[in-house]
Formats: sequence, structure tokens, C-alpha cells
Amino acid sequence: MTDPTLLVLASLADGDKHGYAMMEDIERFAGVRLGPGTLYGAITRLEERRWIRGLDADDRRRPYQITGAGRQYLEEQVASLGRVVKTARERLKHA
Amino acid sequence: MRRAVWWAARLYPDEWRMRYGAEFDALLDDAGLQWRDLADVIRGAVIMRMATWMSYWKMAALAGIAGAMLAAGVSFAIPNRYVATAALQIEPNQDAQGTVGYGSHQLQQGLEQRQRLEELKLEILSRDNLMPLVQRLDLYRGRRSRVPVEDIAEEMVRKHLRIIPFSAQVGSVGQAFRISFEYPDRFKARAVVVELISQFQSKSLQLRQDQRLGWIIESGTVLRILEAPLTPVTPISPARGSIAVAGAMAGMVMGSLFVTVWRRTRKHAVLNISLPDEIRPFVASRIGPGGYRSASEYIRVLIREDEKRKSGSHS
Repeated sequence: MTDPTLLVLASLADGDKHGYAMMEDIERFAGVRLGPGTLYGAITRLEERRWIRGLDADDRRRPYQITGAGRQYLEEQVASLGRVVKTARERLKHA
Repeated sequence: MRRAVWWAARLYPDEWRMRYGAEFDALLDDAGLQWRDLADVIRGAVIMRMATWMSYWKMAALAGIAGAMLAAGVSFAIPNRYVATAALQIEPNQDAQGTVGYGSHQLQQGLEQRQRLEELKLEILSRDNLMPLVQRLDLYRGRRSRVPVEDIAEEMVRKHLRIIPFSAQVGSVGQAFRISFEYPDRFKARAVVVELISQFQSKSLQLRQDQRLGWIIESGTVLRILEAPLTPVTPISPARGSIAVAGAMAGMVMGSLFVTVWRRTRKHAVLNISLPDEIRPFVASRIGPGGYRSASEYIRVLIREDEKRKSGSHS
């Protein structure tokens, strides 16, 4: 799974994070390092779709929070991926 | 490398930087940047610019189409103008050539024909000669009610009537010239040229008759029509295609300018802020890599922070 929007949503699923924290978190759990341009491209799109929202920040590092719609979209995507993974695993067993 | 990425981040559109610029710069400060991040930031900036330009281009294209339609409409309000043309040549009289010897006087005869053309031209294009023509052919009817016919005759010569010499065939002795007249009515345009040819013919004939009466002129004049005047079919103006293209271009420029001005006036108000000398160095130190892009951005951030503090103290 390398879709930046899903990676950002997955990163925010366990709590609010600012850009650099997301970058580190994604690298840790997915083994993918999102470049600054890619990360903020995904953040821009997700905020436009209202799947995440920017929170007030004390300094320049603005944290982001996943919205209800964003969580629902992530759940749908994870369920879909889960079906693909389950099918692939079963077929590999029988091969 | 950090500096290169910092500059690449300035390629993002202003609107995007207004919203994400500060936090994006903070990310660049925090992250251990690699060379591939430079390409990544440039790519991101290009994608964001494309998204912004789309609306820009849409507006410019719409304004361009509107401009083209308006210009085409205006061009149809401009009356067509036609040009009737005839080519003629003043040649030495065959009788005279036989008398004086054609070859020995070729150069002199050429000069004489040219001089004769100038004399005839002055006479035919004179105000006194053209005024009756204007009235007889009912030319410039609308203008004649406002402007004296003398002035109209002068304007006719200055703008619409041309008698231009040109080189005829090689070895030809006579002086060739072209008469052309430009007018909105194509039939009247031709009628004027026909009338002028007739005048050239009659005045050339007078000169020849004068010779027969005993004038001491070595060569006479014969007027030959090289190209007869035809009623013009295609107007020379207005060039409606060019006008429509110019309208489209002007519309696109106006549309782009409108979007630029509209965006700037809608989102920004210009304030002149004077700073005392002791503060200026500090403000300057906050601008640059790792800091703010400009003094305006710095002031904007300070104002927003104050706004937040104020709303927090009320709640």
C-alpha cells in the first residue's frame, strides 16, 4: 500500500500529528518515506475532501486530525484491502 | 541542498503558500532532506500550479471567446471597402518615333514620359478636377452634408486615390502606372477609375493635337490600357479574421488581468507599515531559509497569532 492519502489517513487514525510526525510515522509502519511535496500534496487533497482537518497550532507545526468521513473512507479501503489480502493468502495456500 | 529545496518550495502558488507555507517550511526544517526531496518538492509545486492555472486558463479562454465574438460582431458593423484598379502606359507616339529615331532618344523619351505623367497626374488629381467628379458620381454623400466638397476632394487624393508609376516590360519605352481607388461601393470604385482613365486619354490626346498644330515637341503621347478596371468582388477591409483573432487575444489578456486583480483585491489589502530602525534588523533576520518568505508573510503570521490569542481570551 503506497497511496499517500491512505498512508496519511492511517497515520492519523491513532492520533493527531503534524507533517514531520506523519512522515516519520509512515516510514516506521509502512517502510515508505514520503517526500515533503508528496506528503503535503496528500494533506491538501485530504483537507479539500474534508477527510482531515488542520488544528490550531502554537507554532508553525500545524497538527492534523482525521474526521469522521475520513475514518469511514479509511475503514472501507482497509476492508477492501483485507478481502484482497485474504483471497491472495488462500490462493497461495492452495497453489 | 537545503537552500535549493527551500527555494523550490517558493515555486508553490501564493494561495497554497498562504495556507500551508509556514508549516511546509517547518517540515523542511525538521526533515533530514535528501536530493530526491528537491525533485519531490518541484513536482509538488508543479502539480499545485497546474491546479491553480486550470481556473486561470478557463477564465482566459472564456474571455478570449467572448473577445473574439465581440470583435467579429464589431467587424460586421464596419462597411466593406473595395479597391478598383487599372494599369496604363504612356508611350511615345509611333509617328514621332519614326521621325526622330527611337534608339537614339530612348532615355530622353523615357524621362519625357515620366515628366508627362507627373504633369497629367497634377492636373487630374487637382481639386478643381475632382470636385465635379465627386458630385457627378455622388461620392461621399454622408460627408458632403458636413464637410465642404473641396476638403473631400483633398481627402480623396490623400487617402483613397492612388496613381503609382511602376516598371513595365523590359525594353518598353513608355511609363507604366496604376490607378486605384478605394470605396465602400464597389461599382462606384470602378466608375471613378473608368472616369480617370477617360480623363487621361482626353488630356493625352490634347497634347498630341497640340503637336499637330505646330508645337516644337519631339515626341507625342499615346495612352495604352494594360489592365482594364474590373468591378472588385472581394473587399480589402475589414479583415474580419484578423479582427476576431485580435479580439480573442485581447480577451485572453483582459481575462487573465481580471483574475489577477480580482484575486489580489479579494484576498489582500495593502497596508503601509512603518518600522522603527531598531526593529528592522530583527524583521530582516526572520526572512530567509528556515524563516518567513517576506516581511508581509511575517506580519500576516503575527496578526493571525494575535487573532487566535484574542479569540482564546474571550472564550
